[in-house]
Amino acid sequence: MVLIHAILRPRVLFLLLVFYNLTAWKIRAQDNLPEKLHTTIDKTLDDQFAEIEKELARPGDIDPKNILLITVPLENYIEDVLFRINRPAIIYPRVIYGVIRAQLKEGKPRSVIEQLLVEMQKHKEFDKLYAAEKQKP
Amino acid sequence: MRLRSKSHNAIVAFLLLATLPGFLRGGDIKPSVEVEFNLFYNRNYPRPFSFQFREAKLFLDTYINDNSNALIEFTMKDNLQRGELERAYFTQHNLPLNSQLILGQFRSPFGYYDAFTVSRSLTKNAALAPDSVLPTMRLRDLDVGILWQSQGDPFSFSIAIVNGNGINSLSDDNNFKDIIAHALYSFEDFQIGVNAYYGRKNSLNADGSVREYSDIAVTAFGIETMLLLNNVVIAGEAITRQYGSLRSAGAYLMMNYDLGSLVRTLRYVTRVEVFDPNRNGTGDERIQWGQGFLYTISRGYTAKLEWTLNFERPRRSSNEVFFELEYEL
Repeated sequence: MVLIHAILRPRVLFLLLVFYNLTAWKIRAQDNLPEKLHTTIDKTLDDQFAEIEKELARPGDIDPKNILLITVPLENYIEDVLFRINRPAIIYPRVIYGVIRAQLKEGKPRSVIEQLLVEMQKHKEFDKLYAAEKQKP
Repeated sequence: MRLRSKSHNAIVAFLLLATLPGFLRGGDIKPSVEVEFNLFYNRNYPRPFSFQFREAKLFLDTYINDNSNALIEFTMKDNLQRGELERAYFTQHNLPLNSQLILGQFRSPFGYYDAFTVSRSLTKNAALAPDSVLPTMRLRDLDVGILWQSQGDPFSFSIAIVNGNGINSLSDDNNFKDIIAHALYSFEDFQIGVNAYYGRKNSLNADGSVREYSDIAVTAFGIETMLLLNNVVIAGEAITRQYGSLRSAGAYLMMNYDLGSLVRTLRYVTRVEVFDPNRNGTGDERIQWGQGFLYTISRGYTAKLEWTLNFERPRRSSNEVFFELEYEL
């Protein structure tokens, strides 16, 4: 009962959905994206987010208009918070890809997804998803 | 070129050695270019309305292995007439306490390095020196040395030991190495940090010997804070500096507001700053207020429109307007 209650909580449900998509992305051949990127250069960060958007558009099942610049608020947030204090940024391109794709497939508006990405970065949700994925056998 | 050739050659040789494994593996060096082109208006300039290339940066980021990389950043400034080797370092990642060790020329880890706005903060950029013969002290600077950065949660810290002579200075003017320390505590939507700098400055005679009585202590203390709200980031710093008997102080507050609900990828930025370059004297305080908009046109293209108002004592004010187009290749 406790387990069912926990699963039905929106946050847990969302994370489970992301997990499902993270597992699925491998089959969809997202090998172009690195698992982890460590950088202090805003240009490198920009290139990586452009690459994520390109990968999202590649299968052709999502309207490119909904993808273009969807990662800009997240990129701005990372630059404001980490590069401003002269710290490196660590991002997880495949995890970010999985989250955006799951949300777009669910039909969520892009403004909601943009806000969600910032919130997830703020609460270190990408790190948790990456760690959980790494622990899988 | 303002590069000191000896220092420059030594840094380049060091980095070439550090990046050699990357070259041998092939395809692991990522070059990238960033160009900032702007149109500005400042009525105090002889030609107040001009186009200029503000900066062009070349980055070479080299993957050595999963635990290390090397970075070279070369910047062309002032209409591409002056070139400087900026960041040039080797990094060892994944050390204890979630840390990394950086060797080479890096940004001083004292508070925030950049402002949200196009104009940079007076408090950190103004060079402090009692007279023109002595080396200056600048807090927003690059320096050569060793930096240990620990990025924990919620506590992070950095300690750097540097020459203290600023950019492209492999040889120090004295045996005392300058120390820079930074500690940061992060809550969910709020972070607060403290900074300290302690060093010594010397000036040299023509034969390279140290000038008598030129050994002067320099210190700086700062506090920084950043508030992360929905769509808004507010950050500020307060800093006090001392160079021998010369004291200066300043503080600034800046805000970055995401206007994505009105126009996608549009942001409003503002910064207000008070700076007193000499606290022993009166009537030389400066107040600067800047505000503007940043708009991401497309991947790689950002447009910035900004207006800065400067108040100086004795009574004087000036306006600057910038329109900047940043292009990342």
